[in-house]
Amino acid sequence: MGSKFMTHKPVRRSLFSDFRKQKYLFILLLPGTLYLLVNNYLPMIGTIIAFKKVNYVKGIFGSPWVGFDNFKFLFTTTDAYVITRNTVLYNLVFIALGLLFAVAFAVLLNEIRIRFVAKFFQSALFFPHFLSFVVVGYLVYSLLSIENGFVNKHLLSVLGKDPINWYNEPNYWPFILTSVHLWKSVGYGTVIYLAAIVGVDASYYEAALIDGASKWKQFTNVTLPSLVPIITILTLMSIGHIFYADFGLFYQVPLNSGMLYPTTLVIDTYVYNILTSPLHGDLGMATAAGLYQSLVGFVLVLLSNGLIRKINKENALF
Amino acid sequence: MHVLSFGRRIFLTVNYTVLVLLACSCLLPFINVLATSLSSSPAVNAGEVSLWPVDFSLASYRYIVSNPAFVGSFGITLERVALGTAVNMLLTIMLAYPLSKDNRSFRLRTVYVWVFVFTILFHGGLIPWYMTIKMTHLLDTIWALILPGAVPVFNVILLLNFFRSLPKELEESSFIDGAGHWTTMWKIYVPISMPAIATILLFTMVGHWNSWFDGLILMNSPKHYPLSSYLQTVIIQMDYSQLKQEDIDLLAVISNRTTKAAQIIVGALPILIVYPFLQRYFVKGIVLGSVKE
Repeated sequence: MGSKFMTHKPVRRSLFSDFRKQKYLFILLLPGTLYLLVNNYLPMIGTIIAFKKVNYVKGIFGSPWVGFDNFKFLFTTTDAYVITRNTVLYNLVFIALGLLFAVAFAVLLNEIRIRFVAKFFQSALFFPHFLSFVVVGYLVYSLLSIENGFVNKHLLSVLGKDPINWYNEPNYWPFILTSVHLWKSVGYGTVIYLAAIVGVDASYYEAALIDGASKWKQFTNVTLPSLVPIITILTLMSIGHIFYADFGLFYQVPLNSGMLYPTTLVIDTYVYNILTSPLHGDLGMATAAGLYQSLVGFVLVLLSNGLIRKINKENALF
Repeated sequence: MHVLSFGRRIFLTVNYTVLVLLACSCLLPFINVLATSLSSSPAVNAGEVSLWPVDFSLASYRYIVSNPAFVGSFGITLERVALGTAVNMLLTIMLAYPLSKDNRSFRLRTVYVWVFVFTILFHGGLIPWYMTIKMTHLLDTIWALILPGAVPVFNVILLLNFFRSLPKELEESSFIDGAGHWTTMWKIYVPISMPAIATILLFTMVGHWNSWFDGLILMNSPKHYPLSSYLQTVIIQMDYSQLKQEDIDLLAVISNRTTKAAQIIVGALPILIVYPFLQRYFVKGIVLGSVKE
């Protein structure tokens, strides 16, 4: 690089040329920014629907204000309790079991020394992640359907049990949804934790071997402690999203069966069902439910980010 | 190779067993659908098909290819993947480049980054979002599948971090040669960031291919559904009430179950094809995303 140029450059760079250059940066940003204003910031203003009694004749802006009535009404129904409970409990279970299985499988995979075989297992585990929930919903349906489902036709009949109408029995669904979630997402976590395990300095293991540490001791004293930072970060991030449910899982896998709502309805599907119901339901209240989700979710993300910052500034989102 | 201890051998046996069972649970349901789609309808209805086609037949595939609803939605999906990925990538690059500059050369950078990050942290919720799209008259047009997701902020942050990790001298020497931002971005930054861009591109394409919710909610008429949304409606249909007379004649060779299976396979096909080859990019991508900077 021409050093003659460089020695003069910082002095010569005037405020004016700075501005000239920045102007082009702004032009680059313009389309994306305009888009965000319409697509993301306009709906934020749209949350005023939550404080209105929606009247289709008068339109949203003409509809009368009702203060916090929509929220009051929402929280006097049992719906609010059920959807909050389902959303939060499912997420808690998903976070705990997802972590447990992902770390366990990563450790198991790491023990396979034949590269080709290890790659095959990882690919197989990771595969469901790339299927859309429409496909997953169909796979589950082909297992559980009353007429042709594999479970009813081949498993229960062999055991001499009566077929179960799975899509009418809410009691089974916490197990089904948890299994489907884990089936679809554990491969993803496994890939992340495996990358972290492979990255652990091999000399730690050599030192442990010299001290005569068993495999289990190596796991508890070397592998696990080296995973703690990434486990903490990822778990806190998931906790930040505990108020958001995976719409595809909760809508498509139970096929939106009304009988299952007590154990499958979450905030996201609740709002969707009101929006798409033939009479459009109570839009004000559904918007209120959505806003309640966004606000609590926002606070949780801030809290979890604050915690991440305290542990390791580098890993915080902001 | 040294001899393994007894305990080690037991562990490996258990380990392989667990992993083989897991791999089976991930792959077998799908293989069953594949076998079903390639079998004749009587064999499927008799429950003879497990993992290998019985009475091999392509009748279901021939049927769905001649089904205008299926073919139409397939075309819409191709259109949205092409257009949507192009728009996504263009905007992602155009946003990541200026936001990757340091605060000295781009004074308002911090404010801007916040404007973007805030949209991840807080959003208005489904109903105001839907109303916005309705107000902008996108409903029932292909743009409803493209514009609402046009700026994937998370990808912008990924690429921005990648750009920031590049040496500053690249940009400086490009400016000395008389290039502006536009040229520097396309001729220097983009080619050098190909690994990151390829990863984002793949995730974007898979995302567009698989996405069904937007089609379902933003398209009033089923003839505008992309493939995944169309499949969603097909799966829920469980009766034969919508079939016409000529279809009923077809039922001798095909059935609701074999055609559903065939459509599911076609719906997942592109991913099945690219997955084995591109898996390492996906792996790289999620590791990149989980470890910031």
